[in-house]
Amino acid sequence: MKNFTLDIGPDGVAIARFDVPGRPMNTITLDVQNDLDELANAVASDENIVGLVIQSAKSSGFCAGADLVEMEGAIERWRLAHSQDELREGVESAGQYSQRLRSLETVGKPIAIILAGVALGGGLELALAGHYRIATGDAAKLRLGLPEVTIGLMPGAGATQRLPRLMGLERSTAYLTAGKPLELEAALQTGVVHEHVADPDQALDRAKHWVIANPNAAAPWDAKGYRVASGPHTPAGYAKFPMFIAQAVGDGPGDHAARANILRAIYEGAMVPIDAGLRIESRYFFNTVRTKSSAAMVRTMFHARKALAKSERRDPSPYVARIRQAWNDEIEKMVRDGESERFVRGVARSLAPRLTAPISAFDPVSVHPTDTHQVARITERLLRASSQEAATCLFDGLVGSASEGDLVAIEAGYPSFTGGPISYLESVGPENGAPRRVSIE
Amino acid sequence: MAAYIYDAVRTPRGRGRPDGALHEITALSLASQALAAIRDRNGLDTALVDDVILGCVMPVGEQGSNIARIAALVAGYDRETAGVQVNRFCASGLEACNIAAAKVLTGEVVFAVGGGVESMSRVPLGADGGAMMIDPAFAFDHAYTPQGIGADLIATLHGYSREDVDGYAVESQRRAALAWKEGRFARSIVPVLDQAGVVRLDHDEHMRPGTSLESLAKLKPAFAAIGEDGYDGVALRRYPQIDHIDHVHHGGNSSGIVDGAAAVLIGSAEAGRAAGLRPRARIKGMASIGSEPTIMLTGPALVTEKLLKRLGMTTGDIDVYELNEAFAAVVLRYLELLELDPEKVNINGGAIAMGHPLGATGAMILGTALDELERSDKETALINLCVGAGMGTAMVIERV
Repeated sequence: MKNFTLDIGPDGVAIARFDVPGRPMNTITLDVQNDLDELANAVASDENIVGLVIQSAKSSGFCAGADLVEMEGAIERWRLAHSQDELREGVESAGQYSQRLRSLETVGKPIAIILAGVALGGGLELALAGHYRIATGDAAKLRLGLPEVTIGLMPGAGATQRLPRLMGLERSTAYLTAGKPLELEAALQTGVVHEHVADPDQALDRAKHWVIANPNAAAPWDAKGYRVASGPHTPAGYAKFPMFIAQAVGDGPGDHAARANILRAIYEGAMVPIDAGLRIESRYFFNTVRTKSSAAMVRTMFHARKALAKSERRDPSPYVARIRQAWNDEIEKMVRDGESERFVRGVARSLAPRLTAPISAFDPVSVHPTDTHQVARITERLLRASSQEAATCLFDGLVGSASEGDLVAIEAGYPSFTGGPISYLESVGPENGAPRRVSIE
Repeated sequence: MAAYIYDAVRTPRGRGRPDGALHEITALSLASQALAAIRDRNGLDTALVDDVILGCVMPVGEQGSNIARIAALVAGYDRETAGVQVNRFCASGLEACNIAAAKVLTGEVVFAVGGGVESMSRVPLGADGGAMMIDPAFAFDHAYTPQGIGADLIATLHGYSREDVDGYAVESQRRAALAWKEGRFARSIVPVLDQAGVVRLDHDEHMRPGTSLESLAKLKPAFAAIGEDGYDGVALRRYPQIDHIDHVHHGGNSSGIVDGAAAVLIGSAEAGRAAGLRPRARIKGMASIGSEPTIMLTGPALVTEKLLKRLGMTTGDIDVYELNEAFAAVVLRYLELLELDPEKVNINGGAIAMGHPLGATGAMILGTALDELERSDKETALINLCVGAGMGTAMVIERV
């Protein structure tokens, strides 16, 4: 194992120190996943080992989540999957990390996790596959959460299954569908974290004691007869879950695939045993990363943001002003073209409230009912006009790069599902592409 | 082959609450009393009834597992009479009659009884669960909102004010009170008996005669809270041309929650001759349709157009309209879109005054339309209802 050092104490407790070589922060690479397999095998097969404690050897924290750079290649392959074999292979490989965590969880010996600093996304999912979690160090520096949705992804290694089972549907949903940070207090109340021990040495002692004292530890959902308490089809579920869906729809354009797929995984997964739930989650994870919107969002909200954090940015105001101008000019143009002003402005506001000029006065007369094609047509015109302006700005040097143009626009309120105006333009291609040759016979 | 209506009965509607008169009567008893009544007053040999089709919208608990067959046996129908329960949400009772008519038209049955039952005081709204509001595959992708939001959305889109919808409700109460006073429902109503055979209820219990704009003005909007909790946002995503929802509906201008059952005897001309019965009306045609599911309640005008077109008729050919008063705005929109004379629509009031026992209502208003044709000596009626998930279901009948 390159990413974990394993020490077995005289008490039989194995301590795995998570330490991805040459990186300031642990991430879940393929190599780490292979090591987790090895770790599970070692714990299972070595009779001297009574249980396992996993902690990070890095001062930055436990783990920041999946290695998205490394994942790019796999995602590209999944995106192209088409035949039954390709789809089957794709879902299987998209669910590989999840399956490895499940093997760890069911290894038959107690596993305690020590969390410090950052434990996000796939990192928190690793912790959730342990049986006992101790937070340590400065509570204010602890960062727990599942921010996948904010970059167009969804948790794919158990969080949509284990978090609702731990916290209940009602409490867990916002952490999953909005990527809300999980405060230590809430984590302690709901069993996501079992205790907080400020001193790291004491935390390790506590973890070892817990392992020794709980030789038969297993996840609550592996107990015989376990059912999700207050699942969707219970009075409590009926009272709350439809509202979460409504709020998610109201929050943003409905083509934000990740949010919908997270809700699907929670809903469907809560009605079946954990192994089925994990398989369902893997399928929706696979579906999510295959969408155009997810790819564009990851590129801008993750890669571009990371790259731009290190480089100098230009003054965003002139660029944002021109995007806003193009957006609102197109609204007026559509009205001149005969579209209902009320309708066009409504669609624009629904897509990007911060970019859309306020509406002075609605005409009070009733308007025709919604036509989804009309919404799509108006949306396309708004996005196209504003993204062409963004490309011109890039050419004029108002922004330093396409990714800067995308990120700055989204930060100013451009619809995030596009991945930004320049990504949008790349995805749809230029308007009125090369004229087609028409032959008359 | 043609399908005829020989008779129609309904129970009175009891308030759908624990203090309602029918709360201590089971749904099975309501259904079997309606089935027994239509048999007894026609001296019908139930060996001629091949099937009993009952609408029921919450088919769980005591209403579950095919209440139609069980109610037929409890009512003492012939052992060979089959039974099936159907659910087309609020139009289930009419759908049951549509199916009965179709079975006559194909020759599958000689006679069939269509109808429906719902004890809303005993099996509450929502008791049957379902995917519509809660499975993201539908609720997220198709922007589900509850019907009350859809009704308020119709009012907002088409500019119906609180006074407009309350005004409609006042008129529904006035018409229902007048109809009761003049005995216009006498032919259809069969009193509900209790366990000892004592009359438990012989009139519609939900009505509030004397309802005025002033008394309705005191009621708070019923759907503002769920709107604020999230459903307004869904409706505005789907209808971006508006920037807010006017919450104008409340308990006083929406259909009432009640208990009740209904039965309609449908058969061929030959069946009537064999049984010595005279048909009261011929069924000219039936139809159902789907429309935009978020607003959910715009099916009636579409299904009316669809059915009239197929029958080669126009709205001018219809003398009497029954459109279920699910919410006041539904009827106002129907009147506006089809440019109908309000005097021809829901002449004797509707569910706002008398209540909407979900699975039974369609069969009840079919009977109401038939009675009205006879009372006013008119020819043709169209019965229709708005239906959950955006549907509409209708039937056209003419006197013979």
